[in-house]
Amino acid sequence: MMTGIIMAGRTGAAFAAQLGTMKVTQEIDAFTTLGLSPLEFLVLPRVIALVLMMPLLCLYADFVGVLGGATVGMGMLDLSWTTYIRETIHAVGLTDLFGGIFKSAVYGVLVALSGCLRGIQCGNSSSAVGDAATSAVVTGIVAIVAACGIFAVVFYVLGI
Amino acid sequence: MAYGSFVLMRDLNFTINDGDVFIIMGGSGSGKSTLLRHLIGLNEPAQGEIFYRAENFTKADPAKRQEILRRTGVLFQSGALWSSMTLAENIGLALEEYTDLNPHEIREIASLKLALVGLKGFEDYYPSEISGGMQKRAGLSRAMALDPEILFFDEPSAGLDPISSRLLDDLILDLRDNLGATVVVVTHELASIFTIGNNSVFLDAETRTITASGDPKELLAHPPNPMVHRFLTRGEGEQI
Repeated sequence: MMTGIIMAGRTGAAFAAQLGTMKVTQEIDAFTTLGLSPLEFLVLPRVIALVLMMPLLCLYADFVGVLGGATVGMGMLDLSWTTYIRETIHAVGLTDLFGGIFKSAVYGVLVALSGCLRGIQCGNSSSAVGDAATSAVVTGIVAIVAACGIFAVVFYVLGI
Repeated sequence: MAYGSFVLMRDLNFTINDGDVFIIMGGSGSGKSTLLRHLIGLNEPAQGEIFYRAENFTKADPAKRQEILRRTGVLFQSGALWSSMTLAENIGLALEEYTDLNPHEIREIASLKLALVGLKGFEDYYPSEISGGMQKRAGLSRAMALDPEILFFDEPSAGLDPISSRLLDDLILDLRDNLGATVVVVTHELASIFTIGNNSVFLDAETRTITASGDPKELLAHPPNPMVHRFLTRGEGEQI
């Protein structure tokens, strides 16, 4: 979830700004008048890119999180490295790992769609591009929080 | 044409003939560019229909619209080149999508189209690396990629120096004469209007409709109303 929120702030806003600028400079109109679909050329590649990258970022964030935990555990709680690793392996199963990876892919879809949607809805001025970027972050984070709640219920019902 | 409940223009009836260089003229804010956007399907008319030859463009399904649009080319006011692609890629994209040409042939055609507008050797440049006038010309070569029957130009002279503007006018006439294309130009540049136009409509912002149509030179010689006379003579002889 943290990875998703960071990506909403970074990539979701970037997508909205890119597509918003393309709207202002009529680049999106140029696709339409050539009979080419902006969704196919501009939205789909961004969604696929984020869906593929989010699980990798999730793994990286998990690794950094474990290292952060080790720093606090060893520095402040006087745990040994081996104890910390053993307890971590005991507490965190493969289900958690793959559940997180699956969730991150869904968050990737939500962030990418929020960014692209707000970018394509952008008005025709530079201030509208800023508004689109801001709106993309808010929409992305709200979508992630809502999805997180739904996942919590579904995982609880499934006993995961 | 309307934005919500605000009617921008009404009762727009006109025909563009094959081989015309058709000028859509009028003062700032009269709706020239908006009319062009309606003609190329970017805006929908509040009422009425647009026909390409016998085909109803307004009521066509998306597939039919795409087919009609493939027979047209558009040069936008800003050039609207895709900034993440080189000039050759900008021109080649439509060819990649709609023809069976291999990448080498597409590259050859892109070079040829760029050479037509005086940009030979700029194939691998990005739009941000060339000047505004060059971007306009590159935009024109992209509009010509599929050898369209009809070319639309939105304010082609905007932001260009007088010489570049004149060169672009010559290029438009070349396209009409050599490729047999019909050209529709939105502009308020009098020099261009009289040099290239052989048919036109005048959009009047006050009456919100077309108040004159025909050859611009004829309209200058026999203005049908004072507004057209003022526009075509730049209001000369009047206290502004």
